[in-house]
Amino acid sequence: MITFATISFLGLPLLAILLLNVVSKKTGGAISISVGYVVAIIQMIAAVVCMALLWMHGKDFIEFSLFWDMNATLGAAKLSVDLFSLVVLFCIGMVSLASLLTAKKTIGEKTLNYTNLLMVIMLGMNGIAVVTDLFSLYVFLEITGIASFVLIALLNDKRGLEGAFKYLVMSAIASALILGSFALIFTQTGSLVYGDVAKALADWRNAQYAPLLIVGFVMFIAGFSIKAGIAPFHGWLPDAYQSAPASVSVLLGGIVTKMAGVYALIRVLNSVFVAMPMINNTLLILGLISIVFGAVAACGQKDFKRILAYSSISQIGYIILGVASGSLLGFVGAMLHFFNHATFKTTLFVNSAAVEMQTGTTDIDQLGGLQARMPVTAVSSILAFLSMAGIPPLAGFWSKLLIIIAVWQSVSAVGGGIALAASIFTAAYFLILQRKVFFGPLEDHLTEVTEAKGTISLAAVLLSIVTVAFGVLFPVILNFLHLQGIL
Amino acid sequence: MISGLSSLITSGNGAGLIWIMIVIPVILAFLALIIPKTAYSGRATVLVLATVINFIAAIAIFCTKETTMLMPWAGFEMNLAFRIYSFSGFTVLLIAVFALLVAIYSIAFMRNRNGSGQFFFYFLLTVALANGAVLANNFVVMLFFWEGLLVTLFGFLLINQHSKPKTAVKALIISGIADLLLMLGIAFTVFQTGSLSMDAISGLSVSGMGLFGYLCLMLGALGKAGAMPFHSWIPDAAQDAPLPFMPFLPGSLEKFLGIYLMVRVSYEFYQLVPASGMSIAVMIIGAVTILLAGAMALIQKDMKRLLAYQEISQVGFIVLGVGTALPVGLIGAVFHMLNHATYKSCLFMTAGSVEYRTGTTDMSKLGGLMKVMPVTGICFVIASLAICGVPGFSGFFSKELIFDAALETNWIFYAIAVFGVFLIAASFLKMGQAVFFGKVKAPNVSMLKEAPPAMQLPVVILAIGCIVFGVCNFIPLHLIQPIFGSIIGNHDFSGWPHSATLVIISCVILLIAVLNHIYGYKKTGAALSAVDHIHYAPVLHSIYNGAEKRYTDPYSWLMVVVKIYSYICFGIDRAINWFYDVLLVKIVSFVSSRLRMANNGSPSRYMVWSFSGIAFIIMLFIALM
Amino acid sequence: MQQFFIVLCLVLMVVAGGAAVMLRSMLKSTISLGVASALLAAVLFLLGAFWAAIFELSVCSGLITVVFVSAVSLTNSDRKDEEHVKEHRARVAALPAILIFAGASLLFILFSHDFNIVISSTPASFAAFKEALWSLRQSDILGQIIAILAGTFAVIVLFKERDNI
Repeated sequence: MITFATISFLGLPLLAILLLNVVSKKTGGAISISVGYVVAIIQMIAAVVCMALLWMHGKDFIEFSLFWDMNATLGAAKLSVDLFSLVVLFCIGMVSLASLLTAKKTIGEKTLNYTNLLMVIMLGMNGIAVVTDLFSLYVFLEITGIASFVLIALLNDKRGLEGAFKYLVMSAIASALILGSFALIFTQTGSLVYGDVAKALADWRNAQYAPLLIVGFVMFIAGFSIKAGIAPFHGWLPDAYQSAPASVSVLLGGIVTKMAGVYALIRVLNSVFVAMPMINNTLLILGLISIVFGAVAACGQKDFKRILAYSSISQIGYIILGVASGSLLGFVGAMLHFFNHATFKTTLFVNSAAVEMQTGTTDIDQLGGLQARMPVTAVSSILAFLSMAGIPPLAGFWSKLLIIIAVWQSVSAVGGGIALAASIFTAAYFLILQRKVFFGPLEDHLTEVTEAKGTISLAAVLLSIVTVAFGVLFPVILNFLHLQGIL
Repeated sequence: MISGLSSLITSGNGAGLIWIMIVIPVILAFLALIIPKTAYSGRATVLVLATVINFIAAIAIFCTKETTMLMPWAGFEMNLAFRIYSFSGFTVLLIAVFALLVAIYSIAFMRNRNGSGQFFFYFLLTVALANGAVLANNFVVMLFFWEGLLVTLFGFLLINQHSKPKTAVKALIISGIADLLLMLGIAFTVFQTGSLSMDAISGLSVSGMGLFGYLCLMLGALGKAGAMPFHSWIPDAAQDAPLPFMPFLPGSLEKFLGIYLMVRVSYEFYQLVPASGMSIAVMIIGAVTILLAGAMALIQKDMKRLLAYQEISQVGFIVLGVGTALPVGLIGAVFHMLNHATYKSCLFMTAGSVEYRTGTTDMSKLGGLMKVMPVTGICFVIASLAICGVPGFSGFFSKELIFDAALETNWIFYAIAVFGVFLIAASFLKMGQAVFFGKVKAPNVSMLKEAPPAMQLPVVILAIGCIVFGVCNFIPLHLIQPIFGSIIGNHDFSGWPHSATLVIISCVILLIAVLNHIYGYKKTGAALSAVDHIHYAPVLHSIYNGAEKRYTDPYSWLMVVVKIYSYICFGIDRAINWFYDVLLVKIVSFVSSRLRMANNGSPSRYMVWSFSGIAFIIMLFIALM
Repeated sequence: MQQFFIVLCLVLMVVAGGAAVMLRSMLKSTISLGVASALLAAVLFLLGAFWAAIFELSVCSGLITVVFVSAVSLTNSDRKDEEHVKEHRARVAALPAILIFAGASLLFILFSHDFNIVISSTPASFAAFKEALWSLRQSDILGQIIAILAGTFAVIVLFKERDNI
């Protein structure tokens, strides 16, 4: 059971790629989306199963390997899943499913290519989630990166290629910084495995070349900030989100940047740079800048997807803030906000896909009154936005609350206050968007618009259910945290 | 389902029963809402099925030994805790009985009316919430169910009234204030004991913070029971809501809940001392309620409004009984609660039957209905005799117990209570004669006939209850007395009242009421105006006029205060509005548009940003080191 | 024997490098570059620089290749006209000549002079190669496979369409 579950994270997408490309192109194209569904759903189930197993055995993590002996003496590469990685693996499955559901209606004839690349990007992200050494992390980061460039340019139109190019350029800089940082760390510690590096870094101030390590840290923060789109490293993010095809925006906005940037950053921070207040404090400040900047900038945007992109910058700031607070509560809050953000942001991107498909535009000035014509989309986007703005009892409220409490307690009331105040801006851009797109009188040229039928609405409904259900059931988690003495 | 239920009953599994009582009505409520209007019998079946299951489960709960159930929920001691014990079991059983009877009545009444789906939906939801509120053993859980009842109340009053939700809003605000007080009371109480669990709280003294705690909890409970000053929505609701709402919520369920809490607060959580200041205060509330509501009942020209005022006045008796803090008052109050629910539900249902057949409850348009609706008429008379406290009927015995307690505290309360009996008797004589006796009069005389059987059945059952609870008053009393065994000891209150003097005084009062009625009838020649000599008496006239214009309605005063307050707030709001709507928006949109222009799509610019970001991080590092 | 392998690898590397320069098709050219990198990795390995070899293999032959593929496809419109085709043929014809020249000179260097490659103390064998490639960085090999897959799909998506334009 456990072997099957863990292996499926990396084995299953590989198998799917094999299956899709062994059969003829026509068959491959026909079955690709369905195969994708299966992979995504099994991944979600496997993540839940692993969580259950962790809980049943009372373990903190499960170590496993794919097809090698992980107990070999020489350089055995261990893969490992803990609760956080399982949560993100679940998110990957969920967002991939939503992306597939959206793609079914929007991607046209490119289903086979799309699914192949989706499987690759899933492999990349799953790899980021399970690896336990810095270089492997870098390799999987690159895989994720490559697959996303190609996905953005999937339709081969000028806009997509331009967005992909910008992403490519910035991502290359980020990769150089990250790789450089890892190299510097390697030269000083002699290892790349998380645990060993952490041990070697415990006394880094007395290391022979401490300044080199500091350079490494700076490069590390900068590199991952670019990948995560933290302000002021966010430049590429709105362009890439806006220019990508609808289903790819869902994927990028929902999970990819968060895996490549936020998750990887948190993982390294927690496993390698243990207890380094300097890095934490820097990230805290960057997180606050990101929160405020993203929210304010989102208020002035004219495009549905760009608003969502800036709101991502802001929400990622919250996640970073929670982790940077350095307390366990903050980390739990960040983890839950990661999940919540994956849920509601995916919902919103699915909604933007529905609007784009039905009206042909995402320019909010040309939209209006769609609530009457597209009720499912309108309601699910309201729910998602309310969750994002932190309105109880929806899921986003709780995770934000935990983060703000954590910052308030362990760092400063000012930081918590700023984060709290920025929520108002979240509500502001939410209202701007809702008013321009869904509320108000119906624009004349939109009278013929109908609700996005089938899988897109299904995705929106499913994700909304998750948002609401998670929020309503949250007291159970609170109780658990309380019992664990975290809260 | 039935077999599962029976096995649950035999195994005495209290926890399972609690879930049945709360979850099944909710599920069936949604079912009733989904079933289309055309399949009315389906809706009706669901309603009856749900109330029957609830009834069986309630019997099982009543027979269960004391059980507590605890499920961890939200942390901080907010557990899903329920407790079955004698009093909660008894109250749940009462709720179930009246829910069943009203359900049977309302499926006949609501047929061919709009909003039956919503009505049944709220009905079942209310049953579930009331069960939960009674069985809860944790203040947070109780509040959850209690507040839920506020929602269903609002929903009931909105049925077919979407365009003029005035009554619903009024009820919501008044009950909301009461619930707010309840919350405050819970906060004070919990603050003293440090526990949210209800069975962990007992015998707090009514002083210091306990005074506030007791007062707020009591006011919250009074608000639910509909005593002064939380009463004024009930007469309006009587006119606006579908009629079965009246016997259901204000008539029985809200009384049970309010008095259940009142008794628990006064005798369990807090130790109310007889003749102490707080005891007198509660009794004053009761006395004022009796007096004012009784006086208002006297002059009503509409059956439903008249019954509503009488009902409020009856609550006064119960509050008076509870407020004495004496065992006899307590037993009298709980017994009166049962009797009140019996005869008042019966009276509302007869009024409903009249409305069902004649289409009106305006007494000036009605008369002599006894000839065409004999069963309804007889039941009305029996229930009236019970409510007036004619010796032998149920109301008599419970009232005598309360009189006993009132006299023991102070003779003034006794005098007011007795005067209240006069007012009620006078108003009933007026209504009874005007509607059921004399010449047959109705908007549609030729089509009149007896109410349908499904509507007669509960009416008849309740009328029989009025007689049985009087003649064989040991039946209810022997159920009630064991509940309060620790308070009253082995004292048995059943049988004939022990003080013959009091009985004689009561009879004299009733006689005076009859004489007064005959005097008024002779004077004006019409039953309806039999109390006009009181209505238009020199001083009373102007008071009544004011009351009719709602000068005595606390709600209208509240609304005046609210209006003034809102004018003040409007001014402040304007200023704040300008800040948010104009200034802040301008600043944000300015900054935002600058940022938008900055993000011009050029990768080189992004790179410059990134490198300045790196420089920033380096500076941060230097600063932090 | 080991020296022979080293030289062979060097020869093949030159061949692959030459092909990378000569080939008109960007796709083939980039793949040749990848092959050259892989061969260089093998040489490095045989010389005992395991880490360098692994990095070379992972980064250059895998990732850089793919990045090249993507970048090239994004910037270059792969137009074929008559002139280019002719030029292309000429280049292809020149290729064997260059290869033969390069191979011969290398072999000459190897066998005519007392050419001795200093090999590090660690004896390199196929087993060691396997160990270094496989046991040392198993997860990266997996990553490598996936990266190559990603590159392939990138090529399919971005190049095939170009041909159709």
